[in-house]
Amino acid sequence: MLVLSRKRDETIMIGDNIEISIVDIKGDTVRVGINAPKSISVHRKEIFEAIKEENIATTKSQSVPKMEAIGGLADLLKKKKK
Amino acid sequence: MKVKTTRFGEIEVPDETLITFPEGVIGFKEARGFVIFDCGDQGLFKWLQSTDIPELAFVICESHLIVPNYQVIIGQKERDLLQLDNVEDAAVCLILVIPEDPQETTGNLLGPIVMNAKTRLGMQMVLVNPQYSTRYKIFKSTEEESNEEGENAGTE
Repeated sequence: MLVLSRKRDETIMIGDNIEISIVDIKGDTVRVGINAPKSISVHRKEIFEAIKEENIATTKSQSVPKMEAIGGLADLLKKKKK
Repeated sequence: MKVKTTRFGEIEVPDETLITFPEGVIGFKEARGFVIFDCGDQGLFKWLQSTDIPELAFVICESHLIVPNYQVIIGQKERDLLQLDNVEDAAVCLILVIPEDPQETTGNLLGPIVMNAKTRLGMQMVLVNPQYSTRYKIFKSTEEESNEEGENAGTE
């Protein structure tokens, strides 16, 4: 991994269209500004990982729900709407 | 087409019902083809079954039925990927986990499934809204849902 030291307001370029700026540093939190083409997704890794884990867990754990459970859920949703 | 599934055995689905996820779903990049069919007879819940991975299937439901003020911002990246000209063609669905006790049902609010009904293209989005979770208890949450919107490239 390439490691660079940057001060506040300094920027790193990745390729010619991704700009990463250090906006602020407070204690152990660094605020990072990212300028990237709209075609590139920028995510916090932990959210991406959480969704990935949830997808894997869900597809493993979800058995075919019993008809009663589905009917019950539909009823609960109708009640919730009211 | 015939689709192999672990839950339903081999099923036959009309070719035109196939939905393509060009980027797969998160954690399953290779899962590009999906079919949708009813889960239960209420018409509210559907199975989103992978045609590539037999065990990969989710129960989904349109988000507005679960969280009335749930909003996602469909940005340019999503529009391009889904070839979405008109936002009204987009269906936003949540992945549910339905256990035996339906009171315990959870929905994944951070990773909604968005599909374009016209092009039959779909994707899983990643939202940044800190109010949302992957296991939102749809009947037990006392937290007020905010109208804050998740977006892919916002500042905070």
